[in-house]
Amino acid sequence: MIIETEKIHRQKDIQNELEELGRGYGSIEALHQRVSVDKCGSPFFVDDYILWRALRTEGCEYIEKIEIDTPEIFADLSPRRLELLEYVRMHDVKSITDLAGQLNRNYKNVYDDLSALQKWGLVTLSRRGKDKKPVSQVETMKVTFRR
Amino acid sequence: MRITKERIWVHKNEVLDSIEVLEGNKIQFFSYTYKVLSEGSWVPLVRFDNWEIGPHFDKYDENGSLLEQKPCPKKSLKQVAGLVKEFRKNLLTMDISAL
Repeated sequence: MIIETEKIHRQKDIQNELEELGRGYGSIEALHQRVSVDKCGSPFFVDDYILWRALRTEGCEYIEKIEIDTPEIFADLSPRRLELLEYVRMHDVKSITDLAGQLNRNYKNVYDDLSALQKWGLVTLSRRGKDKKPVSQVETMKVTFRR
Repeated sequence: MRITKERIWVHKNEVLDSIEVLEGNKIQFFSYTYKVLSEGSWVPLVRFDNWEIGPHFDKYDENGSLLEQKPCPKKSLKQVAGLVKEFRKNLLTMDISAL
């Protein structure tokens, strides 16, 4: 069984990604220098540099996909967690505390569920002061049986 | 310009990460990196990309240090995903240029 997800990023998401890269590397020039100096080193710098350069292009289209081709996902993907994922996708959630409040659920249980989803890249938890903001990385999800 | 980033999970501790940058229908840049999770960090083992020297593959050791770099015919994500799913960690000991 294969799970495939897709998210088409909006301009706001692209802006957030650019800001995240900026926080990580300082500037694109600094990253470029790191890539040039460390040619044979970490390929992650090259990928981040290419991504950063491309995302700066006006009108670019940015799509993120996840394919999960291992049954181990089902240890983490309970019906409740799928509902949570859908809720985060559909609602404006400011933080985990806010989400727990909206769902009238215990903070720790919500945190544990989000952490399980985060492990597979289905949500991201970006720091917002003392709390974290959950963001769904999934717009569509498809489950197919192996051919 | 169209950017597609994809993560393919082949095992709970193994992924194939891909980035493709397309201008129209032409791929400007691609990278497909097979990584394993080791002590909380993703470590690259095998990578196909066209950065700087055209299509080639890189092999890394378990610490993520480059071991080998050789040109090879361009492969699609589907082809690389097929190789990774079939051979996984054995890719490190195989002659990838012959695949």
